Amino acid sequence: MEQPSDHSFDRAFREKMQGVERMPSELPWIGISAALDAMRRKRRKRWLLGMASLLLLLSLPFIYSSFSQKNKAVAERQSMDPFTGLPVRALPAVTGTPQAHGMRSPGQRKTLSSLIPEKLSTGSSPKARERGSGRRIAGANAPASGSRVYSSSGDAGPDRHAPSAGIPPQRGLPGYLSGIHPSVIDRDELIFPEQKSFILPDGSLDPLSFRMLRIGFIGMAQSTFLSGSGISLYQADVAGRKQLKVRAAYGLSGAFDFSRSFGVEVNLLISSSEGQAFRSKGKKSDLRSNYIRVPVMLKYRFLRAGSLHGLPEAFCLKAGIEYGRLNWVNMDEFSGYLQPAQFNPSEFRTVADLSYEKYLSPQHILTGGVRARLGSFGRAGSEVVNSTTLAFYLQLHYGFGKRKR
Amino acid sequence: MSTSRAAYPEKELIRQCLKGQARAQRQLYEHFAPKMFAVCLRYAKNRHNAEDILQEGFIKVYKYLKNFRGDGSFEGWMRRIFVNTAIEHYRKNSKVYSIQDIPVDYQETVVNPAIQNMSVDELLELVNRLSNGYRMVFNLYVMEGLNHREIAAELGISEGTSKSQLARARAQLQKMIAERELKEYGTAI
Repeated sequence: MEQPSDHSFDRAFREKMQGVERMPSELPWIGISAALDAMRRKRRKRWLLGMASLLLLLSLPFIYSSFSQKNKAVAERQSMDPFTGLPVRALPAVTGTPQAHGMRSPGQRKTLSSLIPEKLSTGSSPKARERGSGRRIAGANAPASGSRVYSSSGDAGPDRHAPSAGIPPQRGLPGYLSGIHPSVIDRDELIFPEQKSFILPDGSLDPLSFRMLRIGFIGMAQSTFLSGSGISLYQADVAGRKQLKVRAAYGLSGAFDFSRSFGVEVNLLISSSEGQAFRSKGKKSDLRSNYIRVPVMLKYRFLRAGSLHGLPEAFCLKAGIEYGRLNWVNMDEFSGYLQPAQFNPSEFRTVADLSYEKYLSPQHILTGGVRARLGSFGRAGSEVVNSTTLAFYLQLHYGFGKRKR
Repeated sequence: MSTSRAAYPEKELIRQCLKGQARAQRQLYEHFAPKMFAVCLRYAKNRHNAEDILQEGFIKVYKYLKNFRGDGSFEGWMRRIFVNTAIEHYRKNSKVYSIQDIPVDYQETVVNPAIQNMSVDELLELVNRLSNGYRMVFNLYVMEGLNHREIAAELGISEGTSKSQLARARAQLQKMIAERELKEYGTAI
């Protein structure tokens, strides 16, 4: 219970202390001006990043248009007869109606094998012919051989469009036309635009048309930014300067593309080094942590293009969640403030990823991209400590494909 | 350090600071640093800690200046930031420095005239000699006018603890003042 004398003591004390001023030394201002400089730099960086993002956003339509042009050019080249210069649709048809050759009407035709007239084959077994019909699309990859070259019964002008079993593939021409009678071989692919995409300009099969399991390696260079007002690195946080550190992560990567546009990707990052350095009051400290991380992401391909130089390329957007398990943590100078128990032993984060993938061959895929991960690594006091990681990465995959039906 | 007062009126100074002008930021510091440092000295254990609080508080002021709506006193807004910074310091260090439970065996309350005779620096020195917990509760209650419920919420303690720490802080201060009087004049007032 407070006594009246307590109140008078409080009042006397308050009156004595009111309006008091005391001059600090020059030291606080040195720290403040350093922090203000850092804030200015940060603001400038943010502004530059914003401008760069805006520029990228504005240039997207041009990138898209450029890819569309590429695709259009590829499609045009695929639909022209190199001998006549005419659209393939205008080429003389195989004698008789398609039905006369055992073909179904265009609306019914779905597979290449069903389109090959029996009598146009070179006499190999139906199974072998079927194999050949699948492989002949990749005409440029192999010399024209008996199993891949079909002769028409003269109706398509054998002199002009000679089947030319011995003609080597012509460079610069769509491979599927090289050494193969165009009026017979490519009609089905070109009649059905959705199937044209199986063929690349160099004659190989478009790997995007496969259901493909991909396995490979991934390597990352990444920087982590820690934030959170209650972080026990508080002094370093507000008075000192944070320094981003570039650290490495590596591991295995697997992906499955179940359509031209969509797929899933899983990484197993067996070592992911994170953390950052702080400089405060002349002291530099380095906070390092190492995790095993397993991101699982849904992939969407956009701006796909069949490159005029051969293999396809595409931009991908990926998003998903990431599981992390703490391997070890090195707290250096911060050991007095942070304890290992403050780090979550395991955690989940959200992941977003933008990448560009280029097929080096139908089986080898090189991907480069940037990935952002956001989550918390633990609590300091009552506050959550957030951790944002930005990673640049390269991954190389080998693909095992099965053509879509 | 220069003691020159701000060349701009307060509002103009704030506007210039929001633009990120280094000169205005320096002027704002020079204008308010002495007042805020006195606040920091009351909450800190020593001058060095008070300068730490001052530095952190000013960085927060610049960082959150855009949040100042201008509907109250700017000095009051700043002061609240410095008190909060001091509380954060206390909470951070409370694990390191345990609160000493000093028994209250001195109930002398007739020391108010002695306070009038003492200089501010002497009083500050006595406040600094209080343990962290006592000093925080005493300052928040006496100087900031917070009630025990608010103090309990700010410091993460119970209301009962806040009350007992205030009583102990008062008693300890009164004892120190009386001892000082005894030493100075050979008799307690």
